Amino acid sequence: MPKWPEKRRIIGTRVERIDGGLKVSGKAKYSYDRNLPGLLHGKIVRSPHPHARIVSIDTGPAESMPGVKAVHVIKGPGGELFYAGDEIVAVAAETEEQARDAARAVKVKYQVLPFVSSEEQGLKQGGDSVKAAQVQEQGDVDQALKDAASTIEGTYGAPVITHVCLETHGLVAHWVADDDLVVYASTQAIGGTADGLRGQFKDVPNLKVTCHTPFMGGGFGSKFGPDVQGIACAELARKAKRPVKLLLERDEEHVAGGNRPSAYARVKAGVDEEGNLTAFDAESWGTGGARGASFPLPYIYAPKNRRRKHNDVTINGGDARAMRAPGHPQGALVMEQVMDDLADKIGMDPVNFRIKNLPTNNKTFQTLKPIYERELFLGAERIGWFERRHPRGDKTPGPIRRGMGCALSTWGGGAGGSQSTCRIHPDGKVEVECGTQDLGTGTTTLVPLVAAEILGLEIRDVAGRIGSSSYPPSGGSGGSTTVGGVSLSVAMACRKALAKLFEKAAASLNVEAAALEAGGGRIYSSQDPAKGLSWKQACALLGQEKIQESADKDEGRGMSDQGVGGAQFAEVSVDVETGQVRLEKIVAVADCGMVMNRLLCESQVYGAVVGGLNYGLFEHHRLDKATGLPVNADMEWYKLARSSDIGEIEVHLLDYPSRGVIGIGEPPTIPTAAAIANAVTNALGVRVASLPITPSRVLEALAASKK
Amino acid sequence: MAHDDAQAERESDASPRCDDPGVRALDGVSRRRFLQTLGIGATATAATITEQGILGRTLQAAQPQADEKLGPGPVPVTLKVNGQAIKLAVEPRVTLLDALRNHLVAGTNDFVDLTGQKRVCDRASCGACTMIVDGRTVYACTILAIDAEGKEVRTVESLEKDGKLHPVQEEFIHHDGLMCGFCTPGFVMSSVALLEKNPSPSRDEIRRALDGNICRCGTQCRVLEAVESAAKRMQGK
Repeated sequence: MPKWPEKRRIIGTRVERIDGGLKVSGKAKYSYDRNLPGLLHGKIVRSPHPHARIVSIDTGPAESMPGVKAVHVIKGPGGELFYAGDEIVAVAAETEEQARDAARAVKVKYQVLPFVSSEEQGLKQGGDSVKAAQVQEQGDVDQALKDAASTIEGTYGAPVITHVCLETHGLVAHWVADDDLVVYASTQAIGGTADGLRGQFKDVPNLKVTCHTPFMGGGFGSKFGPDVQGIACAELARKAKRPVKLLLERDEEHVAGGNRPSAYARVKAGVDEEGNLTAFDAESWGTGGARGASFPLPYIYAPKNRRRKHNDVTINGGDARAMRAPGHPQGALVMEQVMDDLADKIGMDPVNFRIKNLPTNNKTFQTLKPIYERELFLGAERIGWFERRHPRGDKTPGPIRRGMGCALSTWGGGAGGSQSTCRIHPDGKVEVECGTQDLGTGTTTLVPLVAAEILGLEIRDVAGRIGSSSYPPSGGSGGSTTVGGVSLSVAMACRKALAKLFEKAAASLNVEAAALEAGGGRIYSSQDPAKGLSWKQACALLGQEKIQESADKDEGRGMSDQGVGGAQFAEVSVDVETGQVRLEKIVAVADCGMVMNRLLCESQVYGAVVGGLNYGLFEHHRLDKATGLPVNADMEWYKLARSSDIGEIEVHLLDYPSRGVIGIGEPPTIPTAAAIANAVTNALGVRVASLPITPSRVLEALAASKK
Repeated sequence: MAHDDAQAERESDASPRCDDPGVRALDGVSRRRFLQTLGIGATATAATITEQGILGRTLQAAQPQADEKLGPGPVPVTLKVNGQAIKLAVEPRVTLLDALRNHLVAGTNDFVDLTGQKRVCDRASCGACTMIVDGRTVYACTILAIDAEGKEVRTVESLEKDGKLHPVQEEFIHHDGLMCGFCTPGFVMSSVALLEKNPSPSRDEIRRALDGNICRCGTQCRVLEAVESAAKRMQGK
């Protein structure tokens, strides 16, 4: 089985992002920045009603407006519009301002239909609004609850939130020929976007579609295909015979760009006299618009007797999409609050209570048990848990109450599909191509980093090329599988190319190819390191012929792993007069196998924690109950943390090189909100039932506890 | 929390806010020019829009000629951006940000193509479009191009000198104060403006100066480190 080099010169060090200079200087051209000659701007006409049927559409007034070059009907008369913001017509005009005017001029007649705008309304109404309950049961929960030494009951939850990608969804479409479509898309899946578009234009024989995404402004799970707006943009460009840019406006992004479903659960749970979790009974519900809202529960811990009934509620809102560790932040939020409630009930330290109840019911959790223990102790030590944590409810006089909480996470990772090609040229130049994309995670830096490690060169010696579907196919960036897949395919392509170069060098040096090594910009005999050639000399032996080798990530099987565990601790102070929660400190301990680039890996954890604290304290995508319309589809009333809101974050990476590469994009965002919720409860002595933990909710919870 | 900072603190901030007196002054001008576009004479409007900034600053816009009327079609606009004059023909409703990002240089088929500053919220909330106009940070999504005439506009493209990045930019890279990079030019401009005003800010002053900028990837901790390092370097420490 292939392995990573035992001695690594570059892997695991702190490498600055090689495209940093382009990004800080504004030279990086994102899809949103792409100005092609003759570019038109596209806009979409959307439903003003949460539920309606299209009676008629008159595009005439729009078509005759100045600058308008194309109109495309997305959904025709008779079509059902399922949420406020559902797409109807797309228009393209010379300027964006003209396109907006044209969109407003399209006349649509609607038959307005009844709608559901909240989970409560849907549950009350039943019928089509609630999908058949999913029930999972094991053991005898009712008996176990009766037999339990202590039990708790609670309701926990979080609302729908949206991805708020700073670069909105969309693309620039350019038909360079009748059968050749080039798009610049803001996407997590260049290959998937190209394939999706090809599938939409089946009437074009031998259609070639290329997707370029050298830079993209955030996806978080919401950008995997061309989407309605991408297809409409390509249709407009085809009709107008000019390139069209159509990226969503901010309000459209909130309603049509996907969301993380809400999650609520009523839980009864019990422990035996030793503090073993023996019974878990949950009734959960949530909405992802018309999509499912399932999430794992119980999460991590595996009580012997458990029952879970879940209802997906359909409301007239935009569709849910994967969002950074889909389902897991919700599962952790519910479960980790239950764990704290139980620990507090029986007076056991929550860290010890978690360690006592760590599962060993499968191989992954057996591997993770010592990792969780190490993380819990390290995190507890760093936040001052054993010295400073007080029992539930800070009894300090005055309005400021402090509290601490912790939570665990788990995630898969692994190596996603990926192929790469390595070319070594006679002049010594090295090119590595991989059809992956960089979401800000650092894949652009990863490719030459891995290649340089394997080839014994420096990162600057390798031209890494990603961000185009014309390169060897690599999967979409989801599930924290990009670093695994790309590292393996690049490493193996480079190894195969290097083996070819060794053959040439071996003949010249008169040694066995198997005895050669690459390092320090040289190729040399492992028995006699003085016997060797410089990289350039070795490549010169190629004459006129370059080496070109490709590899699939499967050839590197064994060099990546999956299954990670993480622990986070939060310390907060809460002003009980104003309800303001202040984050004092978050300690994040992350397990990610072999760290590839320590600097960027840490950034992933910092960013994931910020995402989690946004979930905990700020985010809430609201639909008005009376009208079904979004009330905060902007970035003012849709709250996100700003620099002063974040407090101190401390990141610790557990480096386990023996496990190989494991992705880190998602796991550290899972436990943050749960740790914060537990810290707030520890400060206040009462639970705030649902995220986000806003001042008004803190005050409500305090008021309710005094009744 | 950031959203509830005392007004007194706001004055020292580098980031623009919608209730920032500097922004308000520009906004006042915007409304005046906007009313002209509707053909309402300046005499009639002067009384209603001449107001004082909330901290007592008097608006200093030149009184327009009563017969001047702009739009609704494209009007000639000359902007001074990064030290260069740029001629455009844009409708009066076009923002400074959109003019530089999306529009053509007047009389050519070439885009101005200054796309460093991003359009993210388009409503003065997120700071991705932050430019420095006459020494103050502004949200370029909320200022009309016609109102930026006669002002010195600086975008992130102005910072690189002779192929060398500004210390703030270099420190963003060293500390990895960026991920997807879409908010980064805005954060860079807010940071540069802060250090031009306050060369050795405290941590809290940096935080407050950057409270007008939103990052979704979550780079704020490292941006803070980057700005601290840049301040030290620029002070020769």
